[in-house]
Amino acid sequence: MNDQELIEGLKNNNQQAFRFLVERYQDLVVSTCFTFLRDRDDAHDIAQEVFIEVYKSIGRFRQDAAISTWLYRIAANKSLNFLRRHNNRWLFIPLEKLFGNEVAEKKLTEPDFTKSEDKEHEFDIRIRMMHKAIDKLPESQKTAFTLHKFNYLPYKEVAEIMETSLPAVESLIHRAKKKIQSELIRMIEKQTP
Amino acid sequence: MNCKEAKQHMFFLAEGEIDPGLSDAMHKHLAGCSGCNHVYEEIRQTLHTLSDRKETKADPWFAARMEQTFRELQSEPEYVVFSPAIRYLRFVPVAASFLLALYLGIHIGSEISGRHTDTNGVGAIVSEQFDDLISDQIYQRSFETFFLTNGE
Repeated sequence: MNDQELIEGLKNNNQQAFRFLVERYQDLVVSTCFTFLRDRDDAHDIAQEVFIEVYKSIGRFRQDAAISTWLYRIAANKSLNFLRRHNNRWLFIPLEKLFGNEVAEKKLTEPDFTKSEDKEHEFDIRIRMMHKAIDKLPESQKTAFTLHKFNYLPYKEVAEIMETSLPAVESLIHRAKKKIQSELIRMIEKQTP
Repeated sequence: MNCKEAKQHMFFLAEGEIDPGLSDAMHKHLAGCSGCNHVYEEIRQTLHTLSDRKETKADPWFAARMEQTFRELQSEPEYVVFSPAIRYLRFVPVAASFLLALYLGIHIGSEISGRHTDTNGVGAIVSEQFDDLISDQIYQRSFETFFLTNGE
């Protein structure tokens, strides 16, 4: 079944077409959600919402873009919406965490390369450090960088997903890299004795 | 090249995205500066770690979960979805009823209170007649009370 037949099947509410859609695109959707959310359970929950959105809005799908582009777009938007909701939870952080021991809090968030047990988990530490730097990015830069770097998408496809121009995506990713660079340098220098 | 300049290109050097001339200058600086070299190595290894990571795949149960979800969605009754214009128009009768009730409330209220406050309209005439009646009654009662009681 090619994409054209798949879309026709989805528009005709064909159960077989939905099954095929999930089988073909589940890894794409789950991995895209995971690159934004970094939690498998959350990624699967949001991926489910993505497919439900496809089910509900297939009638409005314009066939000028590939179905994968559309899925990437919905997955990125839904993941960012989830993060926005999630980020508002700081209002409910316990007071001791807000005003408590700063060193204890630092241990939770900043990787420490000087400790031997952390050296064993260098892979996780480096990923965490990168994620911390990415979290500092504005949403548009984060989306462009994540889709390009973690989903291995070329700039052109990122531009289609974000419904913007190729130079705009190039600029977003360049600025994202500069910001990540300065954040990484700050974190590395902070940990260097 | 100094340290500040070198730090502006480290990420791009690690990504292989700078021109050969700048790359040579960077490597020359890094060879002679242990601080910058340490920072550069950390950035390079961090980027290397990213390229090494495995791609996330959907859990095996996910497809079954989605099939169940689609089945439930298909069995749901279809609701009529109104256009945005119609959705907003449904508030018009409510707003009109509210305004009518407000108008009637003010009108009736002013009619009642107008007996005492209105000096020009119907309320004033009614008010004058009412006052005359009351004062007559008081005068009559006082007169009768004075003479008849004393007479007895």
